[in-house]
Amino acid sequence: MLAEFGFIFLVFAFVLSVIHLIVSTKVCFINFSEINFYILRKINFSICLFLILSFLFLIISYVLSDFSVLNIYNNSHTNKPILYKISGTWGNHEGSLLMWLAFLGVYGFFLTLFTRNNNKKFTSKVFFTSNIVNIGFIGFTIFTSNPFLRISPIPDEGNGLNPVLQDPGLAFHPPLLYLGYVGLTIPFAYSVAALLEGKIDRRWANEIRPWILISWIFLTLGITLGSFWAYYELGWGGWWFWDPVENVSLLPWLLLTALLHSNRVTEKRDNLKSWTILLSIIAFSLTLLGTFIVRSGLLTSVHAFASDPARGIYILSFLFLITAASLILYVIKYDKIENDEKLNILSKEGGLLLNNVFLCASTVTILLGTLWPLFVEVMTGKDISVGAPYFNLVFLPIIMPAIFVSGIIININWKRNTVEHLLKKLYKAIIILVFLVTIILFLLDGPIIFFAGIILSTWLLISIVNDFYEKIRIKKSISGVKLGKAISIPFSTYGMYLAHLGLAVFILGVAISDSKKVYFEGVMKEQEIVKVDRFNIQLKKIIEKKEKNWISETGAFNVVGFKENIKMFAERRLYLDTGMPSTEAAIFRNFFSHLYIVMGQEQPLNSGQRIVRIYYNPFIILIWSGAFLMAFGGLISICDKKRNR
Amino acid sequence: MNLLKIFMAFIICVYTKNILSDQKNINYEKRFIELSSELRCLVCQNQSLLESDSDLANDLKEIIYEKINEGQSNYQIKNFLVKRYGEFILFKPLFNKSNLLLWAAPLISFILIVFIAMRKINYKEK
Amino acid sequence: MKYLKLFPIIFFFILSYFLFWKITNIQNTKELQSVLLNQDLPNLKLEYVTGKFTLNNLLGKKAFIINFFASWCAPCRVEHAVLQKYSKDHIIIGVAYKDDINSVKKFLKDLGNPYDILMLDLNGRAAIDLGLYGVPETYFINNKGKIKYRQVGPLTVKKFQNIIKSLKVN
Repeated sequence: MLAEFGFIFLVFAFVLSVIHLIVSTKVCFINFSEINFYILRKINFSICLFLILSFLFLIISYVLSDFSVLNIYNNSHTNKPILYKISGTWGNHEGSLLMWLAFLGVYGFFLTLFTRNNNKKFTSKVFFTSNIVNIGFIGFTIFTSNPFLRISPIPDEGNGLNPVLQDPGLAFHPPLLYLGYVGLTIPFAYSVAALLEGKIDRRWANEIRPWILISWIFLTLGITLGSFWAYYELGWGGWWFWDPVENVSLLPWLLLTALLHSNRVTEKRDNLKSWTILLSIIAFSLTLLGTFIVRSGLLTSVHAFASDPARGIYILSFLFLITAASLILYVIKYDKIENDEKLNILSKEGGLLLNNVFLCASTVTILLGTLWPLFVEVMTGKDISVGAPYFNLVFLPIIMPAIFVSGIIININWKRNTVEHLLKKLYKAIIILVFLVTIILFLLDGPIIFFAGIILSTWLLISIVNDFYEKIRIKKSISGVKLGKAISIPFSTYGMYLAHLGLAVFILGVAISDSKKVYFEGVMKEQEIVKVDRFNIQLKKIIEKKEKNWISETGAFNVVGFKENIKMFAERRLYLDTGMPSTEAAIFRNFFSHLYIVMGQEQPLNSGQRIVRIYYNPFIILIWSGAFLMAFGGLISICDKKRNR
Repeated sequence: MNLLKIFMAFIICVYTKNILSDQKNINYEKRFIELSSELRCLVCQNQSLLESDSDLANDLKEIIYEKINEGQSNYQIKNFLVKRYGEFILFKPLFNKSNLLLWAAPLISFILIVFIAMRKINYKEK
Repeated sequence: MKYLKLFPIIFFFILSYFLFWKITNIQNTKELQSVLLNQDLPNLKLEYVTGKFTLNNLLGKKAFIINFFASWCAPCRVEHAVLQKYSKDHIIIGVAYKDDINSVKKFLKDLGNPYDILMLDLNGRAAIDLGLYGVPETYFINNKGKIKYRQVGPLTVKKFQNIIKSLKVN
C-alpha cells in the first residue's frame, strides 16, 4: 500500500503544480490579487508536503524490503545493513530523482516560509518560476522513471546494490550534492523573476545571498565527499581524475563561486546586475546539464551506474526549453536591468570582476574540454579522449592568477583606491611573503607547481591576517591594536576569512601531495621487501577468503619506517555474481599524510606474484580539510544577523 | 641598500638552485610514470594506463617501458600506440588543426570575457 | 557592442545542437572502430602451428577471417560454436592469444576445430600490432588484404551474418 500512496502523492503534487501554474500565470501576468497570492502559498506548502512524503514512503518501503516494488527488488537485499537499505533508495536513477523532488520540496517549503513578508508581486513571480522547475521534474519522474512500479509475482529476495556503492561515503555523497544542485533552483527563480519584473536592486541581491551560500556549501561538501570516496574506494591513489561526471559537478561549483562574488558587488554597489543574473541562469542550467550527462550515459565515465538515452531526451528537452526561455528573456530585458554605471578596476568590485573573469573562463574551458570528444565525434566521427593531462595544463594557469588576485581583493576597499594607499596597506604583507617564500625555496626542493602552490597559499594566509590586522588596528598609531574591534567585524567577513583560509589549506595540500608523492609499482612475492621512500614494506603473506558472494585475497603488509612498525591489509575482491573485481586499498594515516597500498592481480598467472602499488601521499588530508573549512566559512557567512530585515 | 643587494643575491641563488635541481630528476622511471598517466586504458572507464590493472594495460605498459629503455622519445612511443589504437588512447589530445579550438579555448574564452568585462570599467580617473 | 547580450544564447544553441544530435544518434552506437580499418593487414609475428595454408598464401588473394581466442577465456567457448557453424564457407585463421600449445590443442579437441590455420601469439605482441582490446576479437580481411571489419567481443550467429552481408554490399 505504501508504494501506491507514494505514487498518489506524486500525482497530487503534479496536479497541484499544474493548478499552481494556472493561478500564478494569472497572478503574475494578468491581474494581481492578494487572495490568489495566499492561495499560491498554500499550494506551495501542499506540493512540498506531498513531494517529501512521497520520498519518505519510498524510504520506508526500502527499509521494509518490499520486493513487490520493482525498484526495490532491483536495488536492495534483506541482508543489507539498515544504512545501505536507506541509501539504496538514492543509489539508483528513479530513487535519486525522487530525492531530487523531495529536496525541491524542502527548498520550496523554506522559500515559501521566508518570503511571507516580502514584496508579494515579486514573490509570486519567484513562485511561478520555481513551479515550472517543479513541473518539469515531477513530470520527468512520473512519465519516465516511476520508482513505485510493482511487479508480480513478488520475488522473495532482491538483487542487491552494486557493491561499489556500499560505502558510507557514497551513502551521503549524493544527498549533499543534490542539495547543492537543487538549491540553485532558488537563485534561478529569483533571477527569472527579476527579469520578468525588469528590476534588480541591492535588496534583491541581499535576499538571494543565503540561498546561493546554502547551495554553495552543499555542493562543496558533496564534491569533497565524492572526491574522498573516489580516493579510498577506487584504489587509484588520486583524489581527482577529471572524469566527465566529476567535471559536471565542478562546473556549477565554479560558476556558483563566481556568482557568490558578483552577487556581493550587486549587493554592495548595485552593479554587475545583468552579470549576476546571467551567472545564476547558467549555473542552474549546468546542474541540469550535469544531470543530463550522468543520466543519459552520454560520456563514458566511472559513474555509469544508471543511464538511459530515452530519459536523456526528456531532460535535454527540459534543459533546452527552460534555459532558452530564460536566456531569451535575458536578451529582451537586458537594457532594462543593466545600468551604465562603471566601476574602478582598483577597487574591491573591480577585483571581484577580474576574479569573475578567471572563474568563468575556467568554467568555459572545462565545459568545452568535457564535451570536446562529443563535438569531434559529431564533426568527424572520430573517437578521441580529453583527460587529466589536458585539464591540468589549461586549468591551473587560469585559476592561479584568480587565487593570487583574491589575496589583494580581501585587502582592497570598495569604490576607490589609490595605488599608494593600497601599497601602504599591503607592503608589510608583501615583504613577509617574499621573506617566507625565500626561506621555503631555500629549504625545500620541487617542481614549479609546488612553489606556485606554496606561494599562493602563503599569500592568501598573509593577506587574510593583514586585512584582519588592519581592521583591528588603532588608526593613526603605528602598531597598536584593539582586540575589542574584532567584535564589530561582521560574521560574513569572518566567514569570508575562513573560506579563503580553507582555500589556502586546500592549495597547500594539492601542492605538497602532488609534487612530493612517492609512487611505486612492481610485482611482489610473499615475504619480499621493497624500499619506498623511507619505508621498508614487506608483503608478509596473502590470505585467501571465500564469502557468500565474493572471493577475496588480502595482502598483509608489514611497514617499517613510521615510529612504530605497522601492519596494513590491502584487499582485492571478486564479486561472483557480476564478475567485477573491486579493490580495498590499505590506507595508513600519519598526521596529515597517507601511506596507501593497493594489491592487484596475479602477474603472470599462477606465479604467486602480485602487482603492488604503493603511494605515499604527504599532506593529502589538507585537501579535504581545506574544502571542509571552505564550506564551514560559508556556514558562518550565512549566520550574519545583519542581513535582511 | 647593501642589505637589499645581499637579499637579492640570495634570492637569485635560491632560484637557480631550484631550476638546476629540477632538470637532473628526469630519468626513465619518471618518464614512464608521466607517459603512462597520459594514456588511456582502453578497456577501462576513464582510467589511465598507469593506474590500471587490466591485461591490456599491463601489456602496453611493458611495451612503453621497453621502448623507453630502447631510447625512443615520448613522441615516437605515442605515435606507435596511436597507429594501433587511434587518438582515443591519448588523454592529452594532439595539438593539430582539428583540435585547434580545444587548445585555444582557454585563451579565447578569457579574451572574450575580458572584452565583456572591460565595458564595465571606468578608465577616467575621477 | 549592443549585441554582446546575444552571446550566451548563441553559445547555448550551438551546444544544444550537438547534444541533441548525440542523444538522437546514441541508439545506433557504432561498433568500436579500428584505426586500421581499410588498411593493409600489418605484418604479424606469429608462431605457426598447423594449417592447410600459410598466411602469405592467402594474403591479397582470398578473403579470410582472423579470430583471436584463448582456452582460458569463457566467452571464447560460446563463440566457438558460431565459428564451427561457418567454418565450411569461410577461411578462418585462429590465433591463440597468450596460451600454451597443449591447452589449445585440448580446447580444440573438446570443442572441434573450425580453423584453417592455427597460430600462436605467445606474448600478445602481434595482437597489439592489430590494436587488440582482448579476447575474443575477430578481424575480417578482404581478398585485397585489407582489414574491412573488426569485432570486439564474441560473435553471435546474427552478428556474423550481418557483418558478412554488409561486407558483400560494400
